[in-house]
Amino acid sequence: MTDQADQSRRNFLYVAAGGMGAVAAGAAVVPFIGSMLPAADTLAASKTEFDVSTVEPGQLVVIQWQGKPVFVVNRTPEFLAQVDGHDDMLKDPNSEAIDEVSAEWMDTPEKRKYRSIKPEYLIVVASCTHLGCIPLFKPTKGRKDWGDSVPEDWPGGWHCPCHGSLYDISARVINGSPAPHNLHLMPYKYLSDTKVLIG
Amino acid sequence: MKTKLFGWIDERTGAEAIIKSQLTEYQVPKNLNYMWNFGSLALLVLVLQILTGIFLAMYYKPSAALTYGGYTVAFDSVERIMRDVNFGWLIRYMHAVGASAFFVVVYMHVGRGLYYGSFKGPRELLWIIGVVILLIMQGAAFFGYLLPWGQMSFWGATVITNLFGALPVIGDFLQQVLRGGFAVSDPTLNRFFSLHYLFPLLLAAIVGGHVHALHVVHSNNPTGLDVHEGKGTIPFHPYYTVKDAFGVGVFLTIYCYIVFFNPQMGGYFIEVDN
Repeated sequence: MTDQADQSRRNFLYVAAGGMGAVAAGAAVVPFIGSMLPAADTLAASKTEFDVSTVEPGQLVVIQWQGKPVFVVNRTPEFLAQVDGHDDMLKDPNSEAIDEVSAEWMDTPEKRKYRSIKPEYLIVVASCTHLGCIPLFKPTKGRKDWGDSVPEDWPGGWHCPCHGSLYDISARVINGSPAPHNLHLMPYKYLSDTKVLIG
Repeated sequence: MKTKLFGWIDERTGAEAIIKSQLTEYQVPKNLNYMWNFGSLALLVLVLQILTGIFLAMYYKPSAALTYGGYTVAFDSVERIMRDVNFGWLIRYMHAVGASAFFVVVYMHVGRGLYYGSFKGPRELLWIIGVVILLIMQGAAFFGYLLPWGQMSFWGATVITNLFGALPVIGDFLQQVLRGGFAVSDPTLNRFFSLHYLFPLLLAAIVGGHVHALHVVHSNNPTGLDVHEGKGTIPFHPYYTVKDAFGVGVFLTIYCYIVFFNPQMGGYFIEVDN
């Protein structure tokens, strides 16, 4: 029987049938992988509203945005003063290294320094840029409150408990930390004087 | 033809001999009709059910706890699969229609065996393994039926677990083991989900045994007279792979029509109460 077969015609049929089958299998993969992407209700929860007036002066609040933790700090004038004077200790004092650490409203050196729309309310993603732990808030200067968990010239800020990354009070990463970048900013805007829409 | 990689694997597994004896030189009677297609179709549906089930389990939550909306977590998670999860409706309908299709295909397979006497010697063990497969399939389907936690689910599970309660002496004990309580409730839902995931894996293993048992005694054929070697037979590949592939094409056409255009089949595949 094989002797009588038209081999080129048979090969064409093999390739055609196999090709159609491969296309169909490929198309069938789409809904399955698609189903693993965030569902519609997860996407709908991608914006968060928050009233910053509920944060007391000097207080840190952790809120949730897209399931991730976000720091909201009400920085007292004392804390704001701690932003200056240690630029030489910072990896990226002006937040220019990558897009995620800056925002389009950072149009003045002041705003680059404070990393917030209103200087007193710092809002940053609370994940250490090393491997994503939540850094501890250690806002006061020096070792008085924190012992030797922070360096002697500690300017005040955050200390990550996982691998020891340090950030200053504007969440800018300090030299010698395993973390490569400042804590990330997320898009946010003020809807009114105190209402913030994150996302 | 033999690549270096295949040669390396062959040396350590004997893969070439297996492929030859089970596929390219496995002898099948040449007079099989289309009733012999349903075995491969049943295997296809089993694979489809396991595949869609794995993806449904990523979103399904087996809990009878009440939500703020007054529904249950389980029912809401099914609702979420239908409304919010990307292609969730498609995967759930594939799974639900697939469950019914599984039984349609398997009943045809069993009917073929009855009509052509495939259960007779030397194929008794093949038939017995098949009966075990059917029982496990029914168990898997029954466990799955409870999972949406709808009215039909709940009362279906209540009635069937009550059947076990009617057994003398051990009835009450068995019923409580099945339910994990004194009525169908949250623990029942949890264990049914666990078993619903386990049973298809058992099926996959036993189907392997079913195929092995078949390949020892070889296929029956419409005449009922055994033809094992020589003139009456042809190799499985390419002849029956192509014929099975054609059957798969016909099956998928009907299956897709139901999944996309009539997934509830007028209440026969998915009851309105569920």
